[in-house]
Amino acid sequence: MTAVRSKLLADVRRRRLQAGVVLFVVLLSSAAATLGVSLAVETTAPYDQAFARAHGPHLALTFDASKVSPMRLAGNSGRRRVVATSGPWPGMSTVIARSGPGGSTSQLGVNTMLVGRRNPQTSVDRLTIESGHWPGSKSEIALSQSIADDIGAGLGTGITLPTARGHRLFRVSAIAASVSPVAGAWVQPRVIRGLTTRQTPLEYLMLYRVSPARTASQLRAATQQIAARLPAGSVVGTSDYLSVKRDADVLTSVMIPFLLAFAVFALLASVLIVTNIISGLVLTGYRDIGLMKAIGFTPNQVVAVILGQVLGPALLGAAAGAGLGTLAARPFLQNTAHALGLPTPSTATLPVDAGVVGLILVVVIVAGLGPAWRAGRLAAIAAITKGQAPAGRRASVIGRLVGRAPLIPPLSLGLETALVRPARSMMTLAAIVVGVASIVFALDLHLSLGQVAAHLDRSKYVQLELNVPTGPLPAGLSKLKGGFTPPPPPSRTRILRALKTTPGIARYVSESQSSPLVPGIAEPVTYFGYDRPSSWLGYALISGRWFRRPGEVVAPTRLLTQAHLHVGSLVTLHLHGRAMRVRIVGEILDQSANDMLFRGAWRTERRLDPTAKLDDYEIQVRPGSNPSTVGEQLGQSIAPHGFTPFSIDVRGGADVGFLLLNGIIASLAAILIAIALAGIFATVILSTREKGREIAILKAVGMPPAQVVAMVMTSAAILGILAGPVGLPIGTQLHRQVIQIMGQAASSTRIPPSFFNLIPMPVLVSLGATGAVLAIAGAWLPAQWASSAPVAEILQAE
Amino acid sequence: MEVLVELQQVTKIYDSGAESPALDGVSLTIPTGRFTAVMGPSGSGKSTLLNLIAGLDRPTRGSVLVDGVEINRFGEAALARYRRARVGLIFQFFNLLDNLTALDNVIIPAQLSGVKRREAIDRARMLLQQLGLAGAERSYPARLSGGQRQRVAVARALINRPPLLLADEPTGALDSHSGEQVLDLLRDLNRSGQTVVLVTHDGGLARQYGDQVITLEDGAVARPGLTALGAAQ
Ligand SMILES: Nc1ncnc2c1ncn2[C@@H]1O[C@H](COP(=O)(O)OP(=O)(O)O)[C@@H](O)[C@H]1O
Ligand SMILES: [Mg+2]
Repeated sequence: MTAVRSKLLADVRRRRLQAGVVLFVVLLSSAAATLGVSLAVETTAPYDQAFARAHGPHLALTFDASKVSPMRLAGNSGRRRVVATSGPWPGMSTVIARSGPGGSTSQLGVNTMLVGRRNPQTSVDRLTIESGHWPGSKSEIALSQSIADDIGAGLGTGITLPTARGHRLFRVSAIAASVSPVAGAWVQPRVIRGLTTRQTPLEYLMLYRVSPARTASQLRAATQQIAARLPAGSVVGTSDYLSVKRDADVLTSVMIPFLLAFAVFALLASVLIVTNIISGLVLTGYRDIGLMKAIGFTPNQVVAVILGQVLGPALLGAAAGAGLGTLAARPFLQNTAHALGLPTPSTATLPVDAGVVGLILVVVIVAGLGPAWRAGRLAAIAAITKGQAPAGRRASVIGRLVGRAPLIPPLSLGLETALVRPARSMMTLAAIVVGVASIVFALDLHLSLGQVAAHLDRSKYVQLELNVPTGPLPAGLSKLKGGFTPPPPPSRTRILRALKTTPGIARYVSESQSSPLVPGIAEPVTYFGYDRPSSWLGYALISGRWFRRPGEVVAPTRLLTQAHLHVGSLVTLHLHGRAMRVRIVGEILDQSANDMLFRGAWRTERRLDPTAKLDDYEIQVRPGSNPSTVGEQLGQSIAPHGFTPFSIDVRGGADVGFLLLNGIIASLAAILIAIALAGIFATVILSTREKGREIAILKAVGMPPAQVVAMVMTSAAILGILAGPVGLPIGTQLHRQVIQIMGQAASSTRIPPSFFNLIPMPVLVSLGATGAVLAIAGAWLPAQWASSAPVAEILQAE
Repeated sequence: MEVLVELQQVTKIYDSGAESPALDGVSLTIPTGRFTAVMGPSGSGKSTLLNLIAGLDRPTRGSVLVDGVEINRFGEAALARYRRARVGLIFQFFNLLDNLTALDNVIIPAQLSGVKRREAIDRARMLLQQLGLAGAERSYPARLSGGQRQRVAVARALINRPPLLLADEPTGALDSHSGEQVLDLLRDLNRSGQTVVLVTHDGGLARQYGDQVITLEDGAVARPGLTALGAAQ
């Protein structure tokens, strides 16, 4: 075996370049695979993992403070299904806004629950302090990551609560992450009482871990058990971890299909390239192989020498790539956690790394075994006397054909190079195809995800949301301590007048909600009613059209599927004993309200639910207007003296999740392009080595360096040009499939046809040319080397 | 006597194995129209010398002048043009392209020079006919005998009508009869005005064919001068 080893080492040394390419390609595909797989593994259950670490609450219940005392709540925690609790904590719903310039109060902000909590570390819901310290003084506030992102606040930012009592100014002392999204901000408990108003009264928040807690109905049962011993109506809000988990898992389920698509691409490309390199080693080493056999190497030893030349670099590359992939996965995992408002997970990836390295080695062995085995079987004498692999009769036929073709010599010779080794050319072609397909796939995916994000987030269509808190006032609130009585909410006429007169508003529509029942679905669904034209709201149509008159509705795929409905069906909605028949006229992409919703005319809704109120306003500002400015003006116009209980949210800003996906897509596409380049590089090196003598002869009889370069490039460019038309449809088809799988996985939705074919035709055509560009780029260096390689020595050798 | 090639103090040291120069301060001239034979034992620097004249390699020091022009100053592209237009090369191992027919091999330099294919083929046919290869035009090198292959190589070397024909051990891979045929061919060409430089380790052949014989020993010119035949003229 020492003979094998020393021959092996000598060969690796002599073929450093091939070894280098194997190392590089395997490193990249190992990095891509590790990145993909560890993201897929780590994000399979990002919520579950964070939830377990934080000892997260299965249930978060809010209680009416006027109906139940904290003592009673704490005493009620020994129910059979309840395993652990935290709270009760005082809290209230409020609008959180950044303080305006000069300490003025801004009406812009987000609605959330403010909770008085002394300590971030409690038995249930252990918070992770991402930065800063927990509020200690009365003027300090901690914000959740998502609230901080929404209003653009960081440590030290001044915060006001425009709908709360007493114009208090807070400073952000901590950004904290909770696995339960109920509370968006925390202060010391004693602060809360000074802030409550009639519209936003004191509540208690209590968090429960219950058992069993796997299904929605188990959680419902636990909720009922907790509420049973408490006064009627004391539970004013419930939130369970399943709905949160579902939202968190959406990002994951969206990512996995394309992560795996890229990982498969990368592995496929490296198989092709490694196979090519091994066949090349065999082809250029025929004489060597013959000599090895002549001096007594057994066929298996020959196989070992050939495979070993690739396995060594492959092992190195796979290990290094796995390390790199793990490192690269970390920022993405951090961002995923950030996007979900979860604490950063630790990356325990040893099994993933080991798995990827193992898989790649198997793949390399499988790829190399064929050509290596053939070399092992080769008859010694044939190999020695040939010295070079027989190109077969095909070569002369092709040579004749090409020789006759009316092309200038470098082009025809290059063409011939591409044709004489069809297997190698096919594999190189496939590697370029993978490169082209990845580019198309990545661009397509980027554009479609942009559409998805734009239509889910809708900030291109609706920049301002105005909300007037309504609903029955809890009894006894007029007796609030301190005798503070906030002003009543603004009237609808006043709001409408402000909407009409505020400059910069392009359109608006008011929206109401009710919760009818639909045959076939157990839970009530949400009906959103609109009083004005609403097709501009930005919900993308999958099929059919937007509703036009009362009695027509649109709904997302998930509702239609679950209720066995389709565009054109009639369905009867029930509410409080009333019934209303509506016709489905459109299927939309819409992830509000658990995807279980209708959107239709307000007049239809009112006949079903006379109490429904138009208390939300969706507002589109004129192009060029600054939504924040328009929002401030609108707020001023509704309540010139400030401080009225309504809120205006400015929507938009870059979606972290979307940016994250784009980052991953771009990185993986870049890796695949690099792999394709390496593949071309390796093949061209092989061909120029193999044709070294031919090139030397041509140079000796006067072929200038530029023509040598052209000749070498031609052989690669031909493959590149062919790869375009093959790679384009593969990329677009794969994209179509992956997007559809992503839609199904994320929220059982179909994808609007307008999200496909987003690459404009001229761009698509020029993407077809990227094959040639890749080929030329990959062949560049070998072509230069070939043109400047010395020739005299080769010409004197036999 | 017109000088076609002149070497002035040419030294060639290879990057690898540099303990002694392959050529060490060689100065010599090759007159137009002559048959110059370069002889010397294996490793004496004959091929190195020929490669420098052919523009396949560059001297470490000194200059190589062809028609008074220093070709060692040429860039790669200019050297390629020089080889194509001014030099015909013949090697020991023929160096034909295996996947082209004899005819297609011969026309390559013409095509590289931009001669129309039609015209190049006409010229090549004529040459092959003159060299006794009329029937072998469409044969691939593998089907030809060594002597035939070398004559195809001569045809290729001549297709651009170069002023200088360089042959490095052209008979080294041939049986003696074929070798003689090739050398006779070179002599005939020389008699019709072609300048020929023949490199050989065989002193007998050098003296038989060369009208100027240059002997190299360890990279230096050992005995410059004319042979008896050359002196007699
Ligand atoms: N490419 C090269 N690299 C290193 N040394 C070389 C190279 N070519 C020739 N030599 C050396 O230069 C010397 C002259 O070689 P060469 O010109 O081929 O001699 P000849 O043709 O007379 O046999 C020899 O010692 C040879 O080993
Ligand atoms: Mg020699």
